[in-house]
Amino acid sequence: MRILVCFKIVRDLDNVIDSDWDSERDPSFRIDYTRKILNDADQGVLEAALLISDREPGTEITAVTVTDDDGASFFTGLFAAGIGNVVRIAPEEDLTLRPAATAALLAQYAAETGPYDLILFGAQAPPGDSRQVPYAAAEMLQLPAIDRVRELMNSDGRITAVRETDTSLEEYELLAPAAIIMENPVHSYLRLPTLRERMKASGKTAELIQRSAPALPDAEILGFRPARIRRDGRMISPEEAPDLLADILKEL
Amino acid sequence: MKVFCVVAEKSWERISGHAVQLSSAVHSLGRPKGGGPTQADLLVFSAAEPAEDALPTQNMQNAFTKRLFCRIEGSVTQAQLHILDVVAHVVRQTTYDLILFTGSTDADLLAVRTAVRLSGSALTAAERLQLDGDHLTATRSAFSYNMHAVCRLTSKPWCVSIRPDAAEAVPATPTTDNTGKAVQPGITSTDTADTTSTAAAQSTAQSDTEIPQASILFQNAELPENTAEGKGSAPAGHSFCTCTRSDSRTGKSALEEAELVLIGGRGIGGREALGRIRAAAARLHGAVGVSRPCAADGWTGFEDVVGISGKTIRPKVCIVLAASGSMPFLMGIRNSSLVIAVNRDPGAPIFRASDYGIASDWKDLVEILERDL
Repeated sequence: MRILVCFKIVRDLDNVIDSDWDSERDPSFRIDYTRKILNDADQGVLEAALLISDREPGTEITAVTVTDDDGASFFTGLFAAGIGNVVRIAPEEDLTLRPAATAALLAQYAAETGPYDLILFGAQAPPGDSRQVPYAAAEMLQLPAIDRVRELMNSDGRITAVRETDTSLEEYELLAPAAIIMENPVHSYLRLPTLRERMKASGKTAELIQRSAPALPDAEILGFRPARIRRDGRMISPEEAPDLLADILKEL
Repeated sequence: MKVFCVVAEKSWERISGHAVQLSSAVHSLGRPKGGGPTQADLLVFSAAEPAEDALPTQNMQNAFTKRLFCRIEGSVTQAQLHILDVVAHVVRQTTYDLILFTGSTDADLLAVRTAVRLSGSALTAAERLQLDGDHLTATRSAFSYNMHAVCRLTSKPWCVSIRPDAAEAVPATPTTDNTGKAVQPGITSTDTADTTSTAAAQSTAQSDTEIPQASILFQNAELPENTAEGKGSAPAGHSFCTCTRSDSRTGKSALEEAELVLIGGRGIGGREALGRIRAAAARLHGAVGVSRPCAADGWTGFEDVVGISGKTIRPKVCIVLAASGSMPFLMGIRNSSLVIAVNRDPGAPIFRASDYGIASDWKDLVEILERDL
């Protein structure tokens, strides 16, 4: 089986100082003090691909990302975890907040190096959180897509996807090829490689491909405004808490 | 201005709610400069024939000039390629400016794929759609829900999925009423619903007139066989996947209906701590939720997650224990009448989004709840 996993390296937005969100300027420059991490949503997707490979030896996994970031430390980690091939597509222009163009580069790579049985994506990634790239890439590749997948299972050459929505829990037996978009995966984290695996992977490098993205009609960003949820925020002492809770709970 | 509204749901139970949301979104668009009235057509995909109360009021029926129906086999996921073919065919025949998708969990997929297929532009989970000259503007979340991005779509057709709860967001509540009397603390969010769209939705739903038969309300929208799409489209019943299990969830969960909810954040430390919180909640007839990291770490299932990737709750009292207060989490509790937060860090963001804050260990508060208050 051949699997292509699309992933992204992003800023750790959990470590942004609260006041840095309180402005209508484009936040991209104000948050560049934060560390970079593997997108949360993509960790589980990479792990899902590795779990399939665990159950079906000989599975070929390629992880691809569109970024102008060198990302060497992340790529070594992917090799160490068991990803066979890592590809970095370096765009000639800035594709931040341009999901259609990003999807086009991924689809182009998949079409050139395929066919793949499965193309896996996480549901969304900051800063845009557009939720567009997987669907757009699937359409460009003319592949059926199944989203909100929490788990992928394989046995005897069959692939099963467990899909969960607000209103249902479904299981599908898939006919490859298909695009899979995972959300809230059962196995949320990418496995931690051993020191031996890290050392073995230290000499490997990601394949670098430089590309120019096609001009596609992405939405134009006119500006940003803070999304704050604020309440009165009255601080009380632990000693005051019992009386407060008693008053509140007796009204229920 | 021509708007095409698309709803795809396996069953008809939720379709009238989606139709209300679509009609209010169209209503709140406004008119293009110098333009005439907006025409909105509706296309419904479902595995079942139209229900008798599909569009139960005259206002809801009149909101759409044309009402089309196309039957699908299986789930929307299974029938997606067929749905996309039918949508593309109908859109090409009428040259719609805007195509709105809503409600069902497949709205994002259908909106984006349709945009690519028709060389238009796409936006998902959009709020506050407005016409801006010859363009469409909308807001949507960005930077992990910490910011709103104001976006402008240029290439038509504009293919937009509406955020499912956009019409339900609680508007800003004053702290005093118009007599100066203090009212219960509420949120003062900048993330407010467009009250005109909410009012329009309520007006549409409440008008009460005779209901015609559903069978004459909708025209059939099958794909003509002599078109390119008709020849190439996946026939009904064929799909890239076979559904081997489908468990429907009707109604709300205990967590969504509870008047008192205790929420554990990552700071509680583990599964055992969660057990203690569950016991305290049970004693008070409350429910328990968690922030996403707790489920990701395997302390409980994802059905207990409160936040943007889980449930949105509306209890009378929400007690948040040892959660820092990230925006995706706050989105899940923003509709609570009262929020009490406990965290050892007095600078934790959760306190700015709470009515009362206690800078303390979460166990101190649970100990209080375990007593007879």
